[in-house]
Amino acid sequence: MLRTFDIILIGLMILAAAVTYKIKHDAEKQMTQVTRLQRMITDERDTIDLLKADWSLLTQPNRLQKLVETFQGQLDLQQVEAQQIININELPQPKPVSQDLDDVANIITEANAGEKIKPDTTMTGSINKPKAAPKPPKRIVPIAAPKAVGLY
Amino acid sequence: MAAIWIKQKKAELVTGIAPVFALDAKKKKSGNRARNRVVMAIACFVGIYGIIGGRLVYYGMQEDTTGYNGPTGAVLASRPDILDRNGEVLATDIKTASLYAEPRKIVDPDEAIELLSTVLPDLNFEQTYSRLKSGTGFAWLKRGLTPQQKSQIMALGIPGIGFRTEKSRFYPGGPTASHILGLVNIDNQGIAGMEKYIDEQGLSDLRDVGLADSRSLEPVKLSIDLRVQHVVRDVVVNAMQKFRAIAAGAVVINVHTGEVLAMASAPDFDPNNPYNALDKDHLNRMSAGTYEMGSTIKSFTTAMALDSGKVNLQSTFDARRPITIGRQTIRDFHGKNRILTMPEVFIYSSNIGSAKEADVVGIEGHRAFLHRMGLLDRMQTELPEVARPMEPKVWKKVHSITIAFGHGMATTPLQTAVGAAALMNGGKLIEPTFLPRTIEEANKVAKQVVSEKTSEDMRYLYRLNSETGSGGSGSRANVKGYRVGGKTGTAEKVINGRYSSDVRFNAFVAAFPIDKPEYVVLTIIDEPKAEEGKVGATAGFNAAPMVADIIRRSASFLGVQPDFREEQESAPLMVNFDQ
Repeated sequence: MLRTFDIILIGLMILAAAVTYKIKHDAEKQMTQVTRLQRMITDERDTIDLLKADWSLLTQPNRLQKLVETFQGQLDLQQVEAQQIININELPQPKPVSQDLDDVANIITEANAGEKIKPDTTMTGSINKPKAAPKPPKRIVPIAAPKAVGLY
Repeated sequence: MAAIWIKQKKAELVTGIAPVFALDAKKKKSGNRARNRVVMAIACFVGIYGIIGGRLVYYGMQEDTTGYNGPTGAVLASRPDILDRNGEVLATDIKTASLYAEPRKIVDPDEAIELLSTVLPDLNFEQTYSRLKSGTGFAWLKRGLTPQQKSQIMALGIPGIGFRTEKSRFYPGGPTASHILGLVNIDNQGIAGMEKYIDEQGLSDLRDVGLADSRSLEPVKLSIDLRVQHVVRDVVVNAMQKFRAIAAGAVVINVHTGEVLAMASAPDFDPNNPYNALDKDHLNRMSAGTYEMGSTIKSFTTAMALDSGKVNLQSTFDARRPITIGRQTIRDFHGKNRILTMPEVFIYSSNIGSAKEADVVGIEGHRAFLHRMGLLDRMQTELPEVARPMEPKVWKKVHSITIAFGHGMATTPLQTAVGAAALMNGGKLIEPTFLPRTIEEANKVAKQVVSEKTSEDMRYLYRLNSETGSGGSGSRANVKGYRVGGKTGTAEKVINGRYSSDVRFNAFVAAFPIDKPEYVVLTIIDEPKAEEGKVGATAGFNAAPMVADIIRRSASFLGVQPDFREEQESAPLMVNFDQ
């Protein structure tokens, strides 16, 4: 009787050993994976650091100014003068879009002289503006002065 | 099977088939068994130790496969990044790969060089070849490679070469903010500027206990604005060339918080390659150089006289005759030879008038006032490079007179700018800082040094002095839309113990927008010559246009709105209803 029990115990022990070994082996495999991922993360972080440094090197005002000077012929950038900077509420009020009939509507009206035509209430940018509302004076309104322009 | 065998054995015992002399046999049996066990144990141990010993011999005999991995220098210390006020990187740590070779293991140097040169076209062939042929254990081939180059070289699969990672400090802006950022040494320890300050704030202690890991270090934010800093340095370097000066410098300070937005001093150095950083003429002149600031000091003399309450803007000073004291005679540079009102003394920069202004408060009062303005004491700020101002040990009448117009005492340009900021912001002296500071924090450290009224009068005088057409010396500093006000300073330098009339140190201190000052700009230029084809090398011709350039180019970055409404009106009439 005792022998049977012994053998069962031995069997259990071997099984336990095998399971432990497997778990340990798996854990080691996972650890290798973790280390590998950690190394990859470190690599990525280092690359991010480097790219950040690269970015700030490429966007140095110093460098941009040199580029602007070199390519002045093509770019034709000018220094921003104080006169060019105004507040949004200092802009002249654009004229309200006129409700008068435009040329096309007039022609149509003439053609169908008998009928009363109601002008379309929908306004698109191309219909009324050039004639009715004079363009507001063209001014550059850099709310935040663009970097490359201001540098020079 | 085993169970059957056990059963049989039991049956034998029961039926008495087992021998009669069982006792004897049992004894024998157990003795045998004990001996067997001992033998088995001995065998086990011999076996185990035999394996260990054999393994040791095996490892000892084996060829060294891991080889020499190059110098195992200490891992370089991490430093926090330094950012400007908008988060732009000013200084950062980057990891670079350095390529080394183990020439002993290189199979074919020619092939190795050929392959390497596909990635590194600028490799020095001769040198590299001799290094690879040398048969030594270790040789550097190229340092500071980018990750792309590293992976390309790895892909080549050359035996006997490898990489080591090195950490190095990198300043993307190069010399742009060199004097503020300072330097690190080869061990990545700060030895100058803000780098040194960061070390002193506990970084070196952290590092000593091994806690300074690059991920745990928060970046340090400075009050510097990189864009303004670039403008300031650009203007300074250009002015130095244009006026053939030996040095120039400028600083921009926020008058409400004491934050330094930009500071540059030329000649400067590139912190990425600081071979000349420790040369004597490359020092930071704005904080580590003391100068006789010349007529800019008249701002303080005037403010002192006004603050004493004994004179006001309507007071007059007799500037008809030069003052003679001892062997010295004090004359005016733009002599008017008449009785001048206080604003006239200021805008014509009358030495005689200023001396008389100082007379109003007396010698001790004068000294106490300049100490109160912080002009004669060592400035307290983060930068380690701060010079101690110089003043006469014992103040006599002659000292008070000369100091009234900026000679006879030397202070740093940065301190002068800080003092001027106090005159502009309503009389609060705020120590300058290179770290961000809010107005509330600034108000806690601020000291009221002159009255609100004096500050208002000084703003008026500054504005008057820079008005185009007022005859003031600062009219060239004016920028349309930005309402600049300021004071020139042309100091004669001491050459061989005498004040020389053609070697000058010029300065211009300005505030803008002068109706409600936000920033103080101070420029200095040392020994300027007249511009090509022009005459005149006083501050109005060089230091003042520098200020104008800085303001014109940086005002939009500083968030100052241009305003043309007041441009048409001249400085308001001098009427004081309080009287």
